[in-house]
Amino acid sequence: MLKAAVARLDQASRWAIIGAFAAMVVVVSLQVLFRYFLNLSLDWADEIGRLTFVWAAFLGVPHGVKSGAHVGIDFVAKLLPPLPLAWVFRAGCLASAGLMAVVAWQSVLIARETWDQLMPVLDFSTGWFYVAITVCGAHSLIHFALLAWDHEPVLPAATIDA
Amino acid sequence: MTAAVVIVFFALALLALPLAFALGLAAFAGVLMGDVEWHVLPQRMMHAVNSFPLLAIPCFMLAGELMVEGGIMEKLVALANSVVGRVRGGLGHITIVSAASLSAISGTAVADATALASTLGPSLAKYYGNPFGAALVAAAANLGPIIPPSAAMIVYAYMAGPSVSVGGLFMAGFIPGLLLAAAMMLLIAWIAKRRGYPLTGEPFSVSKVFIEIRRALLIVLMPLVVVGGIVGGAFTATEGSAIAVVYALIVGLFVTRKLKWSDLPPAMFRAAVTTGVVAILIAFASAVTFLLSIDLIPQKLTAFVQALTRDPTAFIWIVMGVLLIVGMFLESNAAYIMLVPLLAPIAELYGLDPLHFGFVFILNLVIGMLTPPVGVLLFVVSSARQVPLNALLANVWPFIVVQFAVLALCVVWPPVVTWLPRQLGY
Repeated sequence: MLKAAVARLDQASRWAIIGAFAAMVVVVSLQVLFRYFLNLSLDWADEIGRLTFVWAAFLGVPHGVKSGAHVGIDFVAKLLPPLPLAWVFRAGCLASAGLMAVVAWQSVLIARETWDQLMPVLDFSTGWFYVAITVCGAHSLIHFALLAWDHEPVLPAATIDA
Repeated sequence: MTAAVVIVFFALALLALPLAFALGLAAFAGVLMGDVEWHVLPQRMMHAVNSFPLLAIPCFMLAGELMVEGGIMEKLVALANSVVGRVRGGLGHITIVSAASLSAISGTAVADATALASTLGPSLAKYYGNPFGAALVAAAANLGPIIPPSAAMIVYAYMAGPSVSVGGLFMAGFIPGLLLAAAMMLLIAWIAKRRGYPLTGEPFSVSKVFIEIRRALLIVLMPLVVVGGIVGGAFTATEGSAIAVVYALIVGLFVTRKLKWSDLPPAMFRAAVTTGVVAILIAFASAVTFLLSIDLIPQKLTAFVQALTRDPTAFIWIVMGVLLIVGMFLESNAAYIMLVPLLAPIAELYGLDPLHFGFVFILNLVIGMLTPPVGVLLFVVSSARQVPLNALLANVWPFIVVQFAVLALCVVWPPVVTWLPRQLGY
């Protein structure tokens, strides 16, 4: 039941990511096209571009937690016997869940404090940036808790670069 | 506070906690020890990620995904095959030339590694053995962030501030990128001769080359549009990355016709998840950097380094040594966020050219993606080609040596790096 609810949350988050990503690419491309072909400047493109980027990036974080995509060093942990390794892994997951809870909670407080501040061009609260961190923190917390609950340790992978 | 941050980070990282969360917990430990307000964490995270230049990272990743899905890679390989296929070690040369061409379109090494592993990996394994083929792919993929465009250069320029421009760094990478490719091709030719690898490609013919160029014309034009547009000032690096996505989309949908609209959502999702992995690293690394600045670590580091040496050459070699070690243990984006604000200002105090320093800084960390224990490219290629890490390492080390030799050349002879950007007015 819990896992089914998390699966639905993941699916909703997946479509939100795709929507934010698509909007980001469209807005930034339009900015160039409008400038060169219509001699028009889209003042709001920078703000929408940053907002959609922040949302796409932070919403992507919990999916990386779920799939073990976050980069790490595993050569010391691999030396541990299975049982201590499992406990170290669980402790790491719970510590990270705690961290993400703090991050989510603090970003709610900042979002509330800054809710009346509007972006320079758009009539849009700057608090929306912090809402992305809140969602990221809460969703990551859930996946860290689920990882800690599962029995098999998932050592970090490496899928990113510069 | 700094001691707590460093100890917590290393302890957790060594216990296999992902680096991003090890950094986050280290930052939280610093917040607790230093009696700093807790809201500093999300504030610094947002400050680091809420940046227009960083949009280029997901866009270049998506462009890379679309190019692979759209069959662009096959056309590049066919073109490379027509030029360098019929020499000893030809398949290796094709890998390097394809990687160099792909690097002029994509901006990241992992995208290149994935593309090369899926297209050339099986043939390389058949003729050269899987471990050497995989090592070739991993080494060649390092051209991705060196030959422009480059997401790494965008992150570096963002962190270094106005002293370095993205366009300048892009141009700085052009000649060293070609040198890297040439040096690796020489190494491949030597290894192929020693091991007696068979001839594989088709005989060289000028007409065949022209046919393949014509077939790949729209792809060959892509770097001219994207990099040319950025360097020529027609659009910013971020806008260029979005143009790269649109270009790849148009070529994939209407020219090669291998891309389907239904391929787009999963490609965007994958690119966003990878961006999330980078973003959270950048976010927490920024929080750590902020805490270190409260303890005046940048000033203390400057005083320490200046007490150590006044010689710019000695300084740059010390930095190269430090980055060599850092590259082994720290993911490169986290290293840019944490170290560029510390080291770039000191380099300026020593009178070093910001473009030269920036480029050798990037090249060092890019080579670090091939060095264990945190060698991102090793993990990616090992997984993609099903090669054990030990076997991959045994074959990749000559390429690492060659890449460090090119780095040493760039350090001792700055015009290799700075000549082209200076000619173009950077």
